Amino acid sequence: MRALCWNGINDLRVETIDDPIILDPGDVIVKVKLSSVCGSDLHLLDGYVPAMRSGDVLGHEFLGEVVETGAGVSKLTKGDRVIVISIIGCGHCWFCDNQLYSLCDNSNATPGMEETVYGHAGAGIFGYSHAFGGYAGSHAEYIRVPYAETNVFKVPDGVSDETAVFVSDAVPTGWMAADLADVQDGDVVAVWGAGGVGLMAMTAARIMGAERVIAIDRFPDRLKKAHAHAGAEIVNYEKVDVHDALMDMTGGRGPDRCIDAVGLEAHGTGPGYLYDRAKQALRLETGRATVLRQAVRACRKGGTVSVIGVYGGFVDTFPMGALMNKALTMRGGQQHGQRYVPTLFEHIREGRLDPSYLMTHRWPLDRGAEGYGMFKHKTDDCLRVVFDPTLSAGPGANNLGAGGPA
Amino acid sequence: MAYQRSRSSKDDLAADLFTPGSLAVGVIAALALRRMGTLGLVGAALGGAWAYQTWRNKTGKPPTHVIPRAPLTVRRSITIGKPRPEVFAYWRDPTHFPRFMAHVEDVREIGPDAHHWVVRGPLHTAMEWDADLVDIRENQHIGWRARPGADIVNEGSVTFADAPGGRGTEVHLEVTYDAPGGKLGAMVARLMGEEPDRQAHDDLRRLKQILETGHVTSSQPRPHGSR
Ligand SMILES: NC(=O)c1ccc[n+]([C@@H]2O[C@H](COP(=O)([O-])OP(=O)(O)OC[C@H]3O[C@@H](n4cnc5c(N)ncnc54)[C@H](O)[C@@H]3O)[C@@H](O)[C@H]2O)c1
Ligand SMILES: [Zn+2]
Ligand SMILES: [Zn+2]
Repeated sequence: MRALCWNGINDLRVETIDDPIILDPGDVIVKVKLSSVCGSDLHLLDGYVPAMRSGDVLGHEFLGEVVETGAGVSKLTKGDRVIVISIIGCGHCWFCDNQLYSLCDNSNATPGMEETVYGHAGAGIFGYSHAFGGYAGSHAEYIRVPYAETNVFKVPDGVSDETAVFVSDAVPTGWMAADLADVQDGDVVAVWGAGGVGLMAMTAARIMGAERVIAIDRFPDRLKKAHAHAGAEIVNYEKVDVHDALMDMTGGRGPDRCIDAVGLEAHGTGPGYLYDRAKQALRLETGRATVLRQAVRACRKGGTVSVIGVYGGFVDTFPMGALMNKALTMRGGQQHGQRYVPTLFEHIREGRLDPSYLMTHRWPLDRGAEGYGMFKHKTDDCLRVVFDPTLSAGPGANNLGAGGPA
Repeated sequence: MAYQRSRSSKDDLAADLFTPGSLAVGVIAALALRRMGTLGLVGAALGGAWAYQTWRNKTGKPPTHVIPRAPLTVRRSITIGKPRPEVFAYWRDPTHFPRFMAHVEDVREIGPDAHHWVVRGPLHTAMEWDADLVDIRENQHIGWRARPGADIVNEGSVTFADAPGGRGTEVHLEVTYDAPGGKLGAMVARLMGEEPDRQAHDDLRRLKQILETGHVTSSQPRPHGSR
């Protein structure tokens, strides 16, 4: 089959490789119809997640059709149109029993690195390095899905592929960000990062009762979408001081809930940013805490900081004093998508939630490297480029972006 | 009961990791390893820590837990989300061991509560011994001890306790290796690789996977591009 493989930092190639096979009775094989890029992949491309090996297949946000089932699978059959949650639960451990699927004890087949550094290992993740299980990803014609009855969900009739694919990752992640933030009726919710995840967090916050949502980013097209699709007020951090703006907009209180949907590769301005970049380049600091620092400082006393953007190792100059003295609650995690899928499809069917606009580009797999380049540099108003392995390369590639072909 | 176990090597590692000097050394080692292509990508602290530990192993300054004290004891614990009798019953039959103990190739019954073990080390070296189950207390404890003449003198025990809050069973494993003369270090190293703690832990994890999910979790073989 054809698959998009990681071959080194910022080096991606489409190669012809073996088809996946069923390894365990609970497995299914899914024929991939749509497979999206995600901000998390950029951390792999840029070298912030260790333990990638050349030849690893990328991709974890996908939709497709079940084409083969293991002997122990009874709830799924060939031909089912499905999405698969990007983070793998075993469905049997204490964490899965408590709907904390991304903390699954059993699904990470290669837990050693996480155990050494984090103390414990979390779940396996598709296409996300040998620290997170060493599973092949979804930017391919076929993918093996372990523990399928826990991780595979049939797409309800009437929900299009273009909408459903994001229920694999971006939608539940944004939803969980708002859930962790404990959004209450009447809250002001500030979201750093207007990518697919941040935008979904804004809509989720609204559905959960937020009175006002504030989007912080620097790309005008993304901010515009935050306003159009989530009714967000917008802050361009390259134009204004974020802290001052947030204080102005909230009568000095600060946002009740602050969501970091950016993570360790936060871009920034000023000396703090240069300091972080230099240390990060020397590998003395593994995450840039630009957004975390702003969020903790701006957050209303007694409010919540929800960290859904990914961090890998260590950050510097974390404002612990502010967190403690302002009695803030800070929560984070990889998404527990399995827990939210039924609710999310319900909101989608009832028209309160429509993630389909995240798919700004639908491209053949062969344009994988180019697609990641566009997504990384946020050119051509790209929010998410979604690969369709059934499309052939060259013309016929369907560019849904605002501009012409990239 | 007061907790008496001495500070573990993992705590040492964590402490070292948070010392700037040590971290820097880890980072340098990481970069060196990267040049050698060993790790591919060593960006984050995960890589640094890993490389750091490898570096300590490689530079004749072995982590404390590999120093062949005589006897060498390895202790690890895990919680398995199954009732105590079920976990006990699985362990009660040592012929199950090869399913989750990576280096144990075969365990064959040779008499009542007596077994012949074949253990495979690196480079296809095989070590064998006969062992008796000892000190069996129903649903609580199982011990085993190699008979005289074993390639590696060893004994072990596993203790089962109810986890609080209905979380299943705590399994506490302790294995002690001993051998006459100076052979111990070499033999244990051959048998266990560089990290006996890690191996014991991985074995327990696989046991947990089998009892909770029905099989060992696998991601290999998997399709991949050119290396
Ligand atoms: N926790 C999870 O389970 C999970 C799942 C998916 C993605 N993620 C993480 O969520 C984050 C966002 O993912 P995405 O797909 O939306 O990525 P994306 O790259 O599309 O969006 C990130 C956005 O953050 C903005 N940004 C950068 N620096 C900023 C700053 N200082 N202030 C405000 N905005 C800033 C960028 O301009 C960009 O628009 C990533 O860190 C990703 O790894 C987490
Ligand atoms: Zn993702
Ligand atoms: Zn689990």
